[in-house]
Amino acid sequence: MKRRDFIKNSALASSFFLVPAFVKAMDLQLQLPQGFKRLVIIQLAGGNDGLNTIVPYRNDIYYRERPTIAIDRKDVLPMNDELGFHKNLAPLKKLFDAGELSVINNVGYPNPNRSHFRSTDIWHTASDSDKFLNHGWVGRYLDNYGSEPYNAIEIGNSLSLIMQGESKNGVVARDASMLHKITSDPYFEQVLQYNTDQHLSEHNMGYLYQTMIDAKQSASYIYEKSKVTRSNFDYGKSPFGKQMKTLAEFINSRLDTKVYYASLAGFDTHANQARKQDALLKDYAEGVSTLVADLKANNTFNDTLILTFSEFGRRVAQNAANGTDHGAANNVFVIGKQLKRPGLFNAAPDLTKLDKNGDLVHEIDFRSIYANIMEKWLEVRSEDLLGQAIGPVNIV
Amino acid sequence: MELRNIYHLYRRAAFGISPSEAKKLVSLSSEEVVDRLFRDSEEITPLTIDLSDFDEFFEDGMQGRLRQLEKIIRENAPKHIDYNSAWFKKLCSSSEALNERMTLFWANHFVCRDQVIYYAIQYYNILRKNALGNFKDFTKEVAKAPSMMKYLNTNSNFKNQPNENFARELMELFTLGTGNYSEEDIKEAARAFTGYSSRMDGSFFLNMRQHDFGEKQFMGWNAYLDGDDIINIICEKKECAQFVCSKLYSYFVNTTVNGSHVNEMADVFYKAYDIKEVMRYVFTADWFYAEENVGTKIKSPVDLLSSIYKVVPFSFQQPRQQLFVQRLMGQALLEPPNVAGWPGGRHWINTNTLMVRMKLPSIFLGNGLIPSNSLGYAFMEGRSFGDRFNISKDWKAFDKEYGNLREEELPMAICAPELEKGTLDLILKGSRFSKQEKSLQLMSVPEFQLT
Repeated sequence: MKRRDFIKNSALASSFFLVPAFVKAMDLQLQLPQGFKRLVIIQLAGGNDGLNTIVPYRNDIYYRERPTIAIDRKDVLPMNDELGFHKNLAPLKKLFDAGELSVINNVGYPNPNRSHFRSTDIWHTASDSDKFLNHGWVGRYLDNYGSEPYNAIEIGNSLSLIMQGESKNGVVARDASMLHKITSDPYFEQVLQYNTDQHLSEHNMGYLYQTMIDAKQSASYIYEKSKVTRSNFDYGKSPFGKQMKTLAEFINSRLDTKVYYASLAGFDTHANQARKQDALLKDYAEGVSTLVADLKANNTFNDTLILTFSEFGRRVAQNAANGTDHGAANNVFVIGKQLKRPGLFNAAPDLTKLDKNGDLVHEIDFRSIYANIMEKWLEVRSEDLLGQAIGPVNIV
Repeated sequence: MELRNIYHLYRRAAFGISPSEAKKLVSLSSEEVVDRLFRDSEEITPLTIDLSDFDEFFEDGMQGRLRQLEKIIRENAPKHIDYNSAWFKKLCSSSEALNERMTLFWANHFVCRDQVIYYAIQYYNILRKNALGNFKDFTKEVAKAPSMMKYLNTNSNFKNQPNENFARELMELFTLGTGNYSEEDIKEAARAFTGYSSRMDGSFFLNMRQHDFGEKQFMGWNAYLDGDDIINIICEKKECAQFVCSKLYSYFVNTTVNGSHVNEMADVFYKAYDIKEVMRYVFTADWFYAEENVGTKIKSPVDLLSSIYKVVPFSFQQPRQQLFVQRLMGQALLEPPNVAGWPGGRHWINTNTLMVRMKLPSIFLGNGLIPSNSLGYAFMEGRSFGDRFNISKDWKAFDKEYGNLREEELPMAICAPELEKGTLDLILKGSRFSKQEKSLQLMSVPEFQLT
């Protein structure tokens, strides 16, 4: 047996016993840059009602248009004499008071699309609303700057468009130890020895083989690197809480991952909105604030930026079912230690100037937020990733 | 009909075919084989489970009981798992295989989710009944199903405050696709669906007080229109036939859609919106059997599970575990992620799901370790890994069907794409493993993920 093969085989056998594959892990540790910046993206999927999240609690139009679902003045946690947080966002209010949160109002894009799927695609690909791209901007970041698939990780079950590039994809990880255990079956190593170039160029077949290679490369790296960092913070029992906990463990073990993506679904509140949105906002605020506390305790918060968006906001006027229909512009949250203008980034939405659907008009193009984060945080040329020059806003 | 084509047809139009059945069909013409497939689905049996505990609740005229809905939702949760199991069993073993395949397709077209199993079962049986029927009638019936009315809020769509949810998804996802209607069309169509309601037993009625009897301006019409009228007008547009055919093509033929093939289909479909007719056209088209369309589609999790079942029938002692496995791979029957359904194709595959999917056959049928002539396997052989699932497997059925095949016949019977020589050699040549173990190896290569 050749020496190389021997190392390979014994590393495989040992990893199967869940003993560290120390040879590989040590190699990687030497290459790891210290203290790099990372971005966490969280999507509130389904179209969060921004007006009941950041509430214009002194606005008569708001109360007139929402007779049964407007948030009562006394339930609001004021940010200034115009706007206030939904009561379940108390943990965010703390970050706000500490100068670690920017709330950006009126974010959207020209010619808004009110389909969840189309609008999510627009946010993920950063395309104009009449252009269709089949790769996401984080995927393009991987195409251009990524060296390993785990440079971008989605904490969940599926690979969202945002993580898909032209030639590279991010990794999906939910449970690092299970993934590691599964991928280290010796049979898979054998199967991969027989993949040919033709195999890899073929359509779906190539995709399967490439994904298998990515999985094998990433699984043991993520597992070995993160298994010693167990979070002892209480994230509760919700699936989103669990996602945030995994996220904290990955970040605190200082994986070489620049972008993380997670999503919290259920914001499509056409009927009986209050009960659902109350619970979701609570879940979100508790999960994110625990994450922040966990990062602070491990000295990783300084280098982490957390961006939260939803694919669109909802109509100003409520509907008959105590819910709201699909709207347009919405608010975006950015959490971090190095914000240029923490607090309220810009003015409250203007409820006197709605579009012909009765929706909020956007003031800030979401891509100018991306551009700022790309330039100043990920330190790459935003034009390369956005396909056009977009003037950044000064958030970070 | 060639054996290769028989396997292909049955993998796509049904849920696979056993080697002995396939061999029987070789002497028939392809027309005859397709005929047989349709004949088997002429009589449709609905799928039900015992819900007698809830009978009283759903008797007609008991609107007051709606307040107890939350209690029902809590209490009927286990019934969802029962129905999930029954459904999976039906698609693996029913002789109405084509109709079950179509039903699964429609469940991801007219996407709906209902926590009240009584209505969910009604809904899925509407899909079964219409799966090979007339698309126009089908759409109207779906619009009036209590589950759909609840899911897309037509049941709270009132004259004075129309709710656009159903009208929008009807056009965007069920009939026309984006770009073929305006925001104005949505608003007007929403008015036509006002007052849609159902009784406790699920039967439809129009609430006259909430229905908008005014004129609607919709796609060139300016008249009183109700929900059925809207659907008729939509179907007048060729784009509707085109959109539905494009979805059919992407599901049954290739996720990379060939525009001219879809146009051929749309010409057939547009005439009368007869689903049977357009499907027959697909299954008898030369291009359906072309190389680029065979063994190139990524299996959905349900496809993957049923294709394992077709090799070695298995059953979960605890149905909850079966649901767990479906969820792990991202597709649980009765639980679509949202109104657009599962995107399918490469979306099923990521670093996480692919490895779970490839490991599954060995966890279900073996001890969790895939047989291989490697050092690692030699170390681990004989140990047990996969005993967390409580599964009974019918290896006798395997021996009966696959035991008589020559070893070289195994790959074609199990994997849809042809295997590379290296992979074939790895499995077939000079290894010490039994046919059972070799089949396990075949089910654990990436090629088995394709259909």
